[in-house]
Amino acid sequence: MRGSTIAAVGLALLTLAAGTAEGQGRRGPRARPAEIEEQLASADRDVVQTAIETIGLSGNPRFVPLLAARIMKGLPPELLETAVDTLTVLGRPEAGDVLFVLASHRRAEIRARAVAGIISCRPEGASSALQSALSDLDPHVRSAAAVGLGQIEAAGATDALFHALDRNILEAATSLGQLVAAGEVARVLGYLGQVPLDVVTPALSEIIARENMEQETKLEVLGRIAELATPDARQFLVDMAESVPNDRRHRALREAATAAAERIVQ
Amino acid sequence: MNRTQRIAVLVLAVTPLFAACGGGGGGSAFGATFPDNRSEQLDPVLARMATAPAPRAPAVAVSLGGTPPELVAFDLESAEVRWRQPSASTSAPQIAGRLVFTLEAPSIVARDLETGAIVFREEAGSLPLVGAAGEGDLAVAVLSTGGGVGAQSRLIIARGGDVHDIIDLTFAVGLPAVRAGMLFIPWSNQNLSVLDGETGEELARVRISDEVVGHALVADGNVYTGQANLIRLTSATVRGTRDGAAWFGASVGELPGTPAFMRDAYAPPPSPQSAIHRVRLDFLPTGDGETVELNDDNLYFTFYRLVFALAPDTGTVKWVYEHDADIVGGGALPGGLIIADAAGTLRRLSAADGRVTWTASSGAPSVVTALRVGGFAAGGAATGEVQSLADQLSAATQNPDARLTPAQLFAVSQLAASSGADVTANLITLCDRRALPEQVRAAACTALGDRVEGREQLVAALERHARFLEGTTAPPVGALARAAARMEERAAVPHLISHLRDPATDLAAVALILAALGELGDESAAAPIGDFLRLYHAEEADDELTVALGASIDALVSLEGPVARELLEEIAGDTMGIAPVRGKARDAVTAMDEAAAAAEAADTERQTPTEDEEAAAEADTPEEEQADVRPRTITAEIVGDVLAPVRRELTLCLSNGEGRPRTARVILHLSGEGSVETVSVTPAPVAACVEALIRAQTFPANERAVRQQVIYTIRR
Repeated sequence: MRGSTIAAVGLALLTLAAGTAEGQGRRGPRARPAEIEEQLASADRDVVQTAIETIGLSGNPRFVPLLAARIMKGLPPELLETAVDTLTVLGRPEAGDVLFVLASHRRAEIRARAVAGIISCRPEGASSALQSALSDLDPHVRSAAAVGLGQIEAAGATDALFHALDRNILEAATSLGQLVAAGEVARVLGYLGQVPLDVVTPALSEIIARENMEQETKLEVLGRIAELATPDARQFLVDMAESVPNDRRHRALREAATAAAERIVQ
Repeated sequence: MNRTQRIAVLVLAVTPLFAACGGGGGGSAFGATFPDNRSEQLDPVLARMATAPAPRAPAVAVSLGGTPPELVAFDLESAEVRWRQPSASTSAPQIAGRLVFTLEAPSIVARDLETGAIVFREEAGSLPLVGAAGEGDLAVAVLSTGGGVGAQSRLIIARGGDVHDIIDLTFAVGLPAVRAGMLFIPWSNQNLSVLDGETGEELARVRISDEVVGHALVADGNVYTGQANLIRLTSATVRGTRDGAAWFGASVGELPGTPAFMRDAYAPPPSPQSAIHRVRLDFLPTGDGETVELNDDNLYFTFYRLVFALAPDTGTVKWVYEHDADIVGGGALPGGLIIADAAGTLRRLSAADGRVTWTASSGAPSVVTALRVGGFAAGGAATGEVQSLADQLSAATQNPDARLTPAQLFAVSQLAASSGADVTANLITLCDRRALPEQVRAAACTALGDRVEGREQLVAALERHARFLEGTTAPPVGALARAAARMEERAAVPHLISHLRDPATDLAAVALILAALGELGDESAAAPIGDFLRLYHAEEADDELTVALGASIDALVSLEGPVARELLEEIAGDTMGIAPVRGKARDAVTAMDEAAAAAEAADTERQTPTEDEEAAAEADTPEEEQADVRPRTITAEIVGDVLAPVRRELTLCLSNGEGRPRTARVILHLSGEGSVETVSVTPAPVAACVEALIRAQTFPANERAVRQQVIYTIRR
């Protein structure tokens, strides 16, 4: 618990520092790889902690292999969490190998962080790793993986996500909405009436919001929702109409959502 | 027939002693001076039995049960209920010839087996009904306190529908038999008196000194006695010992519920509700001359809902039958066993395979059912497939009835003692079933770990992992790992490594996996084990993790020997590591040092000749042999020397290789002459580069001219 808190605080500081450094157009603190390597090899955990934080603040991708190697040599829990979070903040694909290993760590906490790292770093093989994490026995890891597949735009993962949704990993719906091709929308709509509407609405919202989805498909989605004729469906359509940008390009969609909502008797 | 006489004979409890020592014939039944073990008395009894017609009695079941309780007689031949009678019996019903006896305090009640009508009641006092037997019109019921000093017993002898005689005794009496108009009465643990059914005269007495005589029973026209063993009355019985007689003893080991071969006849008889009726052994003796055996060579062991056919000489299970209700009565007959259950269903099981060949139902609920099945011939062909014994035993373990756990453990022990890959497959299934009682599952897992057959099944089981989307669970990896090591099945190694890396594998199983990998000796496991040790050695201390990490150290030492030293020193020196793990790593390094020092000392001693040996060697050895500098063993140090000229190139292989590994592990097989046979390098991306350089070098031959494996680590 204490370790988690430390790690969370560390992550926040690292994120803030990295963001600030980037925003000001300058690099973080200067550190030489040999120096960092020496610190990482220290027997003093404070020195190791400092080295990890320095790596995070520096934003220097050259340090990623050093940190990855140090992780593989074994770290105490709180340092490991900080180290994984640092890799996440750095967002470098070179961290892929160690993150893939950590995605099978014995502690679910580390697996969830590793999944977040994979999403952030997007290394080659990320989609496969996240699809594998959908089968993790820990629900938080599964959820993170389901969300992540949408975030990394893993178009080839829709089958796995449908399977995940069938197995009640609700976060899969959002990713499905982000990833399905027009031809797969019907499969999403197939859930209407089969599961509670709020299970599917994240997917439908995403489909409707996507710029790369044809208008005709979006209108079909609205029509199918209207056919449910339930108060939930009406509320969804009302919310949809309000959320669609009020411009000429989206006018037809907005009007269709409004009309569909009005067809449902309150 | 009317009651003819009432005799009360009081005999001292020490009667057997007097009887054994007494002389002269005749006298009252159970008399103190009646001689025992006399051929001139027993032979006429045997002759009378031999000339008497074979006993014929219709097969019948009499059950007690229901609310309010009633006795129900069921005719097996016609499969019809003969009669129902209310009964508050406190004893199991006893079928005796044309009667059925029950104890309905304060009386013993005799009913006509044909009609159910009460034919007489007789005062029982406080004596329990021990047993009854009959043939034709003649029947005898025994009431007895059992025990020894102060025992009281009463024999009620009936002819037709009437009490013919009552004999009160001051010793314990066991379960009687009736044959050829004679009564066979076991008494006082060692005696069997044969009484004429008409006159009550004692015709013969047998005294067995090395066997409890508690039961008398009739099978195939012969009379048997005994309790823990079975003795047939023959002319040899007069020798007075079991070993001198025709006898049979079952040797089936300890069975769950410890059912007696025949219950203790001198202990209080079991109540109708007693578990003794549900946990029992049934058999039918047979044989001729001086041999006694069991019909079909089967001893039937019933445990509530399970029936095991056992080989009587070994206790090995031949088949298992699983019933859907408690079995409350049984009777063996040639070719099978009749069982009666608590719902009133009767079935005949084939002696050969346990399949059902006949079914009938009285529809009467029962807590205990007495069966007389001799001569019952009905029954058709067995239906359904015969499952393998392994499948039968496995199925028997899966009944959720908690009372069956002891029998299920017995089934698992039988499975464990069986050979065959299918047995292993069944044990995998059982070890994998979390719904089983923990004891049963644990026994199956233990048995699985000891298997030496079923490699394919083992590897197939290891292929499964716990996957949420697929809805699969982890297999019983720990037991499978033990089995893999036992079978020396190296094909399991990649799967075991995969489970080692799987967070769904519980730590107890991880420790077993590591132990198995160490035993299997496949060096490809060393790297993953090293990774595991490194990654987790600084985790939060946890007993199971500490054990698993300790197992990883043992495995590494076993697989790599001194090569593991570098990693172990690293672990031992990491102040952030788990203290006991560091200690274990340190101990392992120390042990390596000690072993190396001891080996070196031994080597030096071996290689240092005495002055005499030196002189002799010099005198005998040709000049060219004296120049032989071949090492006895090619060590990693020698390999290092050979590779010294290309050390820089080897280092470049690592620096320029994919992933830039800091080390590469080389396993080298050298012939006795020093030629390179195989080179195995990990990690793979640097293998080609390293192998080419190694193969280009010349290695020395070894003194013993034997093939050698050398493990060598290249470091940047």
